[in-house]
Amino acid sequence: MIVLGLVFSALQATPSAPANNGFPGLTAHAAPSVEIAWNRFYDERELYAQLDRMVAAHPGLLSMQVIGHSVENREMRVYTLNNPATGEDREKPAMWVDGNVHGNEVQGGEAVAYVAWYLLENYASNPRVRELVDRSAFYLLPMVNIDGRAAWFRDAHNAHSSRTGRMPFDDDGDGLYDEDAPDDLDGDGSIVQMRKYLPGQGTHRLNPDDPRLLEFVPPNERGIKGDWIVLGSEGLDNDGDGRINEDAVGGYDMNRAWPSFWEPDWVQNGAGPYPLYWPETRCIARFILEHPNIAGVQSFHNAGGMILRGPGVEAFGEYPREDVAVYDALGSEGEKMLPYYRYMVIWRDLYSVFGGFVTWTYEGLGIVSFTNELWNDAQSFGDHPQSGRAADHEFDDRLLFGAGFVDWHKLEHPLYGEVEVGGFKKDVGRVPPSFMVEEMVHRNALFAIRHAEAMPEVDFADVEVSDLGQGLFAVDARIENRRLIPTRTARAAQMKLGTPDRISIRGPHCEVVAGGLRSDRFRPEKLEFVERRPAELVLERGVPGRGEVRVRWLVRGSGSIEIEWRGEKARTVRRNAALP
Amino acid sequence: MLIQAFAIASALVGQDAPAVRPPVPVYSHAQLAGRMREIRGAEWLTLGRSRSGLEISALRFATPGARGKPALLIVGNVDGLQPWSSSLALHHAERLAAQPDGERERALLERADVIVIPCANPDAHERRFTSVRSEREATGGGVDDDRDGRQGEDPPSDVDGDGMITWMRVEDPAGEWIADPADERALIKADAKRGERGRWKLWPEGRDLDLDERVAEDAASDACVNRNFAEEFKEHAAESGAYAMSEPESRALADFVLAHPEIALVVTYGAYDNMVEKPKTTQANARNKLVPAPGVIEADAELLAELGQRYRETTGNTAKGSGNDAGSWQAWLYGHRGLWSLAIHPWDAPLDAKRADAATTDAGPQGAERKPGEEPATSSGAPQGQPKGEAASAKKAKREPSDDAKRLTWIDTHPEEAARFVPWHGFEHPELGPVEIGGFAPFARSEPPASDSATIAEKEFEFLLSLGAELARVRIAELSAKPLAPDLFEVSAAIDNLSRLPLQSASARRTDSVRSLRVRLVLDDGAKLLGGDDALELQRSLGGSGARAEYRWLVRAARLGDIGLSIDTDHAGSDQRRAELKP
Repeated sequence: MIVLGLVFSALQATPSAPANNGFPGLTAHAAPSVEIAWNRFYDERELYAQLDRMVAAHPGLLSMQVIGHSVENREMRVYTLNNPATGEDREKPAMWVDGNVHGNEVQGGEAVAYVAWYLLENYASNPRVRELVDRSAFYLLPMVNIDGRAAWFRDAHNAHSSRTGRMPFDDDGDGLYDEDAPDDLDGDGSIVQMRKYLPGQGTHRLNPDDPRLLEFVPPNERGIKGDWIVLGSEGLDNDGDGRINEDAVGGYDMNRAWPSFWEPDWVQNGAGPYPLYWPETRCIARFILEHPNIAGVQSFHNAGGMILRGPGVEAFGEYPREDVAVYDALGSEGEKMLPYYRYMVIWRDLYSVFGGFVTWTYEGLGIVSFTNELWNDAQSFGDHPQSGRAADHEFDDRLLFGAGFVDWHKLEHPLYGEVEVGGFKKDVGRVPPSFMVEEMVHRNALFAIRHAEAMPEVDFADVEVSDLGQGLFAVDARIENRRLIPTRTARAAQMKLGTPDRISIRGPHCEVVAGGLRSDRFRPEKLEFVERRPAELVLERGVPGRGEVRVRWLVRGSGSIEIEWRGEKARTVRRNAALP
Repeated sequence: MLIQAFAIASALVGQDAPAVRPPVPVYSHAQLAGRMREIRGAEWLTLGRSRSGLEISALRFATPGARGKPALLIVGNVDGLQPWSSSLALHHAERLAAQPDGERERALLERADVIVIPCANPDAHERRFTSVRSEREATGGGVDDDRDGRQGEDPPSDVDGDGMITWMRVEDPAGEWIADPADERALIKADAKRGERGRWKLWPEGRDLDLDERVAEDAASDACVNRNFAEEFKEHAAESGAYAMSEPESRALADFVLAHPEIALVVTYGAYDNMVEKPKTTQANARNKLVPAPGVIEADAELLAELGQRYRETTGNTAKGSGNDAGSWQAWLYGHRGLWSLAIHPWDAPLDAKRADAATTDAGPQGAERKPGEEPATSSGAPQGQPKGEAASAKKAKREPSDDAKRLTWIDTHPEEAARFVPWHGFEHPELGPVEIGGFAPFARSEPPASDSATIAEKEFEFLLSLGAELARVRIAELSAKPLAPDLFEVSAAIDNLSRLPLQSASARRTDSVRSLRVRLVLDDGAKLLGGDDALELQRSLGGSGARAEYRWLVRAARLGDIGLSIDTDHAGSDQRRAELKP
């Protein structure tokens, strides 16, 4: 009953309703309709359950569909945020937001859920949120690699493991699949490091101030040697081939699987045998291809504090100047919204990626697309940046009372004899501690929402009819896009991606003699008139961001006319006028 | 011609009883399936379905063999424009089934399983059998080709109602095409440097339904199966498809290959060739900013050339492939999967036919035929009305007759083949006004005459039979133990491959897509490895023609019989042996 009451108030609330005004964000009198603790991470079932609660609370705005199944047969769910009262989602520009394509990069999932939560909670009270939600749609897929996420929560892992999906892969080429994964030797739920004490024969020594830390002892003339050697991740030689941990579950990368500038495994490790090989990637690609109204893409990863755009590889060259300007505008705003994050080009500032997701959605489909790498360790210390293991310990000791570290402890290894195992737990390093989670997901979700605000919105600025004499009229229309992103990116125009924009004129007694784009506001004769079918003008370059397009038709006839602009990535608009 | 005649003679001599075989006609998809069902002794495999729902099927001829027995895959009509290549693949299956105990058939099947996919691209294949025949490759998703905001609104069609989609030529001052002086039925592009001015615009047969003065420029389908593979996939080209392997046919074929690591060599009958001509080569490590350079690695190209030479000798075929194989099945098999991919274009209308009067110095009725090396008679080869100065310079740069003109010569000298060319005939086009419709009939350049079809198929089969012996096969050449001390042995092993083809192509070594040879030392009853190589060695490369890989171990064992060796591959056999005392 309480839930029902909240639903009612969410749908009926007016902007002046005091209780929820501005929350999330503002805090006084805060009472969300769906209370979610944003200071923790949820396993795959719990996260879907949180989104399902939002669907139950806002059935008029949020809906769920299953678009496919993962390797382990989990549902691939897209949650669509749309107000049907203002039109079908496919009629509106849509923002695609996903997360967690790498199974261990879990906070991406919460960030996606937070996008829905923020918009739903603020819809009734915040006019800007309402305007955005009413004019656009959001397709939210919280967990691309849902199997990898499930395994990361369920099994013993570290911060970096379970990146892959779960389809068996023979990493070492011995004909066996996934037969030698790391082993949780002490059964404590963490895969940490192994070290062995070998006095006078080692490569490392213990830091005298903090024996949890190992220091490398370089070979030297003084004959000083370390007392310890480092033996890698906790594990056994399960298949008896003389190697340890060389064939774990899976062994591929679903963010190297997308069809633009894709290269096979030997060029791009993890790419798989062909693009979209894995069912998770294929169902997403199909969904995106079937939704040409998607006008913005955001993908949430971890970690390092980055706002990334393509190109993924140097061989691509640079994106067209007009599109770079859009990226730069959003990226530099993102740097202000996301302290400790830098706006970067993937290949130039990070590393080369063939077949990345956001490079496909831009290079292949012409959609402005970002990957955010959520969480930067430097945030732990605010204005007193520190880095490295010692700093990690300081933070862990002071603010988590050492909870993040598995203290070195002895155990007997079948090959190495007595060893010590220890190290940071899986939820240290690439994900923030609980008290910093909410800030992270809020800032990143709002970056995606600001991106969505920049999706094109087209309208007629004015339509004028002038009499040129002898029964000939000129109809001038000015179409403007008041948002940052053009209706067709320069990439889309160059590569002829999707369907071009069209602007047409028709009327029951209107004969269109000629028509075309005007290139000069003062000289109407500067008209690039088309060769044929002048009643429908094709705008391959669309309507620029924060800009306009002027067209002119020369017509004969009388009576009412209707002018219509139509494009894939903004709502269709119509304007009526009349010939005298 | 000399080689061809020799090859035919030797092929005939090579057979015990050269039977007169019935012609090998083209078969529809349903006919192919029907004949496949008649075949006994082969397993039926279903790879998947085409976009329109037709089954892509295979037959597997399997005889018992060692683990890792290789398979040889034969594929017909993957591009869809070569329906007769499906008959050829089926022919091989029928021949294997008819005489499984024939000496050479049995030798092949003992060496390798044979898998035959007669029709890899059924939807395009069926255009040979519909009421309107057309050579159109596209079967998949379409794009708005003419960028008018509508998709598929102006497709090719049979305007003159003769049951074929051919070509239309329209007189137009802006046209680019002229008649080939060698044969005015063949069109060539006007060469401005020769002072030639275009006479016709050339369109595929069709309407201008969207009235944009472009004909048949926006069909419903654009994606072509054999442009849709991931090797050198041309992004954003309409014929490539939305992304690599977006088409159900290409994915079914790719998944089949991935699921069958025993496939060692693939023979694809289709539009491409690497047996008659040496393919474009590259260096193994050639890259441009991390992107690998396309082409066949030199070492592999040399082996293909060896096979190609025997192919030409066996079959006498001189038909070269067409165009760039980027995005093709044939290129993908080699470039991404590291497999030996033999591309064979089994027949083309011959380019070397001679007219009966060609030996005389008079130009023929078309003013065309000349002996090789002979200067053209003054002005006979030049378009009429050409200025004298231009004619004089044209004389220096003699123009070779176009391939189409040569094909027409062959048709003219074989009256029974006349239907292969539709003579240009006037037609009143609903949108364009007067046009001429004509050109080569669909499939006229890929279907051999019925009278030759059985001979061609037999020679191709002859070549196929010879391939089994070429496939890499590993064996333990030696496993010996030398006593060094009581219960202590130095164990030496040698593994070799006597076939011509190496264990892995250079491409496979580069792509790491073919699993290594696994060399496993087997120790029983407390025998213990004391030194030397690992108990499991993964051997990535082993050459052909007797190349060896050698290993040494120190083993403590109570008995010699406790020491053994087991070697495994996915695609080149396996072997095991117990150690013997070194003499």
